Amino acid sequence: MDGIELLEGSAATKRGAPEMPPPLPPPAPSDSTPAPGSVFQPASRNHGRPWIWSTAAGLVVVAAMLVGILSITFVEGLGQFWPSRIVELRRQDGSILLGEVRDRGEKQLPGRNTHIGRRLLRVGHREVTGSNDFLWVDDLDVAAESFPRDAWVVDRSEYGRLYGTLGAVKGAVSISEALSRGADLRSRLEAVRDEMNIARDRSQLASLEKRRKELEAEGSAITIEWRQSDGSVVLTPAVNVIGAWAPNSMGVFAKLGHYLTQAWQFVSTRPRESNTEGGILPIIMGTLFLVVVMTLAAVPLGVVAAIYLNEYAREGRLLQLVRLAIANLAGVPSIVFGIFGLGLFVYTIGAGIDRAFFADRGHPTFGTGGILWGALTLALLTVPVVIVAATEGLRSVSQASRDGAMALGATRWQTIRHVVLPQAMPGILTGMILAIGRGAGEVAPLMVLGAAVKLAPQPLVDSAFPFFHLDRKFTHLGFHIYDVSMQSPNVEAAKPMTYASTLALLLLVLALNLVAIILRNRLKKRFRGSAL
Amino acid sequence: MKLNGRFWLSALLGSSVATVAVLADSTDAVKVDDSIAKYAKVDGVRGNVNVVGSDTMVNMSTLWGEEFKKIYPEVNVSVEGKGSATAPPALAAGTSNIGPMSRPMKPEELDTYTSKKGAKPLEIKTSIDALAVVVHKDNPLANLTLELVDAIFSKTRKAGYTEDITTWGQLGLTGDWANKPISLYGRNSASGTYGYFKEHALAKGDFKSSVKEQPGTAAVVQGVAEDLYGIGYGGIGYITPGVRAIPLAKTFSDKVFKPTYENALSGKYPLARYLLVYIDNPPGKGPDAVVREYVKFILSHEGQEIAVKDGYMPLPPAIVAKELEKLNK
Repeated sequence: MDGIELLEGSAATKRGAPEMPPPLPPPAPSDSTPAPGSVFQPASRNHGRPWIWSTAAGLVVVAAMLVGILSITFVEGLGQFWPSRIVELRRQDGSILLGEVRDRGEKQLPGRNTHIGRRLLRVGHREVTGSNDFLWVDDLDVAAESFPRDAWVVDRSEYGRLYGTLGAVKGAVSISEALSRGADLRSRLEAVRDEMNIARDRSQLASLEKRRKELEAEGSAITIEWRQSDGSVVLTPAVNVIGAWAPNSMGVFAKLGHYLTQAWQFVSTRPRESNTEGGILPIIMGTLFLVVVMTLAAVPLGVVAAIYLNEYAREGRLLQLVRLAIANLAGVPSIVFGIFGLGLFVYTIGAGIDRAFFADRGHPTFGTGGILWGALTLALLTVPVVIVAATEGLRSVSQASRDGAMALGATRWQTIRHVVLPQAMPGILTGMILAIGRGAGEVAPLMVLGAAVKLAPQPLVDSAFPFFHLDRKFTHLGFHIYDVSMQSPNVEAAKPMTYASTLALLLLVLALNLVAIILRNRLKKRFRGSAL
Repeated sequence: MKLNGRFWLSALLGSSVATVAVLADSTDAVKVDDSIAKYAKVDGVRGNVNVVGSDTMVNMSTLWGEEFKKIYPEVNVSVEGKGSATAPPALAAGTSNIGPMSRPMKPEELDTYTSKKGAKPLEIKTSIDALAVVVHKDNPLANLTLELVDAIFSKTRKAGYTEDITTWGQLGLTGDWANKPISLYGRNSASGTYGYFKEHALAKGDFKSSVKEQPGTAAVVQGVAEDLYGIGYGGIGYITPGVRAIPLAKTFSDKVFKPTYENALSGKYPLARYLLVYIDNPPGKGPDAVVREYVKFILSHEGQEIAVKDGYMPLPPAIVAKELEKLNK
């Protein structure tokens, strides 16, 4: 049997001819040189197809999981901003319920094999309903159902939503004027509070306090009345109304506009009511900051280490050991890094800085988990990934490039700096992308450090010197997702928040990666051709 | 004993019919007593309030923090809630100055704290929780005693019931339910709720290893709401319409009581407890000004309303007065 025959045989397999598999060729004598076509191993002709199928199946499973997770997150995360209809249910006992249907289900009647439908209604008005503004209503209990056009949803800054019809507006000509003036006052009040937070001067504080009182008085002058389904009237100061809309009388475009406003508010405002409502702006900022500081720490460190390992260190047993250790470090559970970071950064370095510089403060400044320690711990966690990827990048630079540079009289450092590093840049950026991917999703070490908290004391960026406050605690999107799904007082109400936050985290990581990928592709283009 | 229990059960269950899913009884509006004074702002309060401790109280702490920050924008409040067991070490290390706990400090925790700080911390009652035993909203179970709860959750059964309870039939449920296994949900050991439940419901016995330990009470409630045959426990503030809180009796010879405000106040509901905060109390100096104001805010009308908003129960005026007095000593 010679090479040509083998080639023909494999070509036949490629065409998908349904012939019987040809008999196994006799094993080639070990001393003979392989025939030119022997890359097409005959054995693969017999076993290749199941392998191809199983690889395809593997890909399908992975793709299905990805699509599944992404579509659930997208549908649930984006769906919550759409204004859903308000339903009015008249129950058998004559009472009326007004609210949004949030879920549907069935229950089995006891002792019988029949199922009846029921729905989960969000009825709002937490002052009266307690911490729970949700209610399961059996379909059998519903006597009549309607969608009143004059029903409003009122989103308030406290005690959740309210459902009712619009009553009298005081202090403003129309509801829309009341709402816009309320929003204006709210943002001014927030700005005053922020200024008070960083004001150091007593007289300045006093004047701010005066302004705050004026704004509050102005705010309480504008009120809106809402009539509820049980006939009671609720009076809300306009400054406490985040938004009010009548979804049943909205057209598609009005709904779309509302949708976009709601989505914008979600990413541009602060959380309220123990993080179960409002937006996630500070949380996005915290995550972004953390990842940026982590990358700034991890990438240079990893690249420097990789350069030494690849360019300077002498091959030998020690180097092999170091390489092995680095590879293993990448597999250490993140919680271990968290504990290590707590011991090193918080208890040792942080406490030392406090003793040296902030002894008069009486409370720990750096001796407690802040964003800097969080970012450095995550940097330790991701540095092995960067080293491995950067080493690969350095190895891909041809020896000829190095020799050429040296032959022209460049020193070793000049060679690395001007010839090797630029060409290895795509590999280094790959390391950065991997590091961002791993670091952005890590929450466990941050919780161990106490860096990610439910309520962060101050924003990471403000107008007080030094503007970026690396010692402060922050809220991380991953932690926020954990918190709203595991610790929020009403898990039912927090579901949309969970999905929307998950979506935000996915998009944030995607955006960060995109930046790195675009950068890498540009660099690759630049060195195409010249590197070889 | 066993026979006694069975008889008692069937007598009570005889009247149990389909339970219409309504708002949990316990969430009927509770009012804060009007004689509790409103909070009055004090001048010159600055500094940081760092809250580290109970998960049961984490939302209440955050709500208090948010409101306190509205009154004093110049104060910084941070809140972390990973479990009551994290409160004493954080207080001792100075990384926090408010330690919310859903159970009192243990003697060894107090010792460690005292040896580090040189004085005992101040314990302040903030609100009342009726720790609820919850089942799926469609579960027809009418009520339980602590002996039965112990036999359901514990492998040591120290409360006295001899039989190990693993199916709903053993609790007197019939039909489809009779041979369905009970699926257990609980908290992890960092939790004060875990500790309190272990001490008061399991008579300090051990949990079964089949208890699915959750990192937060909301997760317990979520688990039970999704699992028709589930049972779990947690602070009353976490109850959702997907679950129902079971009325409890201390022993078979006692009456059963719902986890309502009256029953918790009178001590009739067997698992009612105070939710506490611990603060530093250096001898001679007393608590920091900002910490003192924070605690005063918790004990004000507004602070108590926040407790109600989060689903817990406010303190009666007499206890508020007593707790405020502690601050001035």
